[in-house]
Amino acid sequence: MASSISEIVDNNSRLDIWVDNISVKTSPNRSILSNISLEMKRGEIIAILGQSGAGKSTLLRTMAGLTKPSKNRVLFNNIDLFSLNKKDKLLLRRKIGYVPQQFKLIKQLSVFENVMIGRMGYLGTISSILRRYPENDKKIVLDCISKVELTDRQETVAKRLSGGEQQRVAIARCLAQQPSVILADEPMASLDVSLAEDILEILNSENKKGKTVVFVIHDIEMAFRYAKRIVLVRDGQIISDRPCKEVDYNTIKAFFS
Amino acid sequence: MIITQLKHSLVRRAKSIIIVVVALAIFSWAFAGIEFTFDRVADGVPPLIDFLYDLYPPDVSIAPTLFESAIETIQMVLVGTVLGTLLAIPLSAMASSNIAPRPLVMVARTYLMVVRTIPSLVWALIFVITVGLGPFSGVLALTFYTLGYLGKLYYEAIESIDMDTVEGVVAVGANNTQIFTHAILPQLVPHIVNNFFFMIDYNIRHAAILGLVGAGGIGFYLFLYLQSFNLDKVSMALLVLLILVIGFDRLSLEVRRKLIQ
Repeated sequence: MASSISEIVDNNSRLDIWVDNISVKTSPNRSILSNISLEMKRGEIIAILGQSGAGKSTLLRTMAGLTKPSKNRVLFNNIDLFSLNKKDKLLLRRKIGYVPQQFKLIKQLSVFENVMIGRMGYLGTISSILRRYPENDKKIVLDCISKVELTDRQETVAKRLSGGEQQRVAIARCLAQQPSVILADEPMASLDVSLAEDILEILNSENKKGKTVVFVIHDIEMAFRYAKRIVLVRDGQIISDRPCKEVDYNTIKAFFS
Repeated sequence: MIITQLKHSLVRRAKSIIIVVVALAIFSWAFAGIEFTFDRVADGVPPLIDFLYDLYPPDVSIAPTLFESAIETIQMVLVGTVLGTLLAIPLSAMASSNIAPRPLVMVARTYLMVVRTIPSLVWALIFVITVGLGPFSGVLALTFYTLGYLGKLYYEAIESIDMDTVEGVVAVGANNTQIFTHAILPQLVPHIVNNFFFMIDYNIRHAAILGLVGAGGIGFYLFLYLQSFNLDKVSMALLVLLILVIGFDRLSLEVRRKLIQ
């Protein structure tokens, strides 16, 4: 179903993602992803599993519009990000929430400022340069900081945070975007078990509000607990894509060992 | 096997010898050009002693005039360095190959290179001709010199920043200005602060030389006394300059410590 960009950027928009037979190459002879097709319906929650170097992160980056496929395209409600003009591209980007694997926070800025970066797509240039943020945006940012339980550290500079805290700031930054899609690359890699569950609960509750959630994960048990569908990636190709109830836990475990 | 290893080690040694011989040849060639003789050095010692003797004692009576002109130098340096830095920041962004389009990078880099190639003394001469004698032409000279120098240092700093973190800001739909102010600038601040104070220190000494062409400040008096061989006054001017440099050095150390946690 084709959408216009104005429908997509609406606050309550829901997005389907269609990875349309894409390939990603770093050089003419080296492929990271080969002929990957994946259809994600609005409101789905999907786990991507695979060993290190399988191409999971590249797949997520390509879906986030940070890597351009060398063949074919990724569509959001039938719209290709790379076909849009500059202004519409920014509008679509703000609806795609991406949590990178290594947090990618601005280490010199405070927790509050880092989470406010999630609001950049909504803010005017002048107000962001002057760092005079509208009350509504401040409220959204503070809510997101509170969701990841960092309210007492909101003024702390990111470089002084632990790995787990930085991970939570990255999640809060993504939530502050109020995205329609959340793409999270190992969102619980630096967290202990209870915090990891908290983060996956947050993603789960965002999914229940209608957001499409895709997360890369190493923990098979967690993948089974939170995802409705499991995608297995090996050597840049999808080798299995099924609903959780159709996947055998032991087969996946064997795949990893 | 052993023969191959031996061959490799001989080739390596031969290469090292060739490099040393070539380096020595270049140095000898350069040395030949400076017309050095031990006689000239020996002949120069008595006049040097006379010169040093004449420098002492410094003429304290001119201290008030010199301190007044030193304040003018400080003002020149502050205004020139701040203006140069403010101009260098946007220009360095345009000259950074990791964030600006290639044609803009070429234009900005060529411009910075031309500005940097012209020595500050020549800048001062140009502005003395265009805006007349005095500190204003000195300020303009320092502004352009600072722009050329810091522009290069800043674009090199931008090119070395962590682009992965910048990507995190691109992903949220930030526009180019927001990317610069929220992802690049915060990483640049330590470079900007450090190089700004380095430039202040450098410009204080440079401002003294600018006096040679009448561009105001303490340098004007320094060259006036040098030309009239009032060496006791020259030593007083040098003393004031030394106090100025040491004072700024201490001050910049404190400010840097406070600004960069």
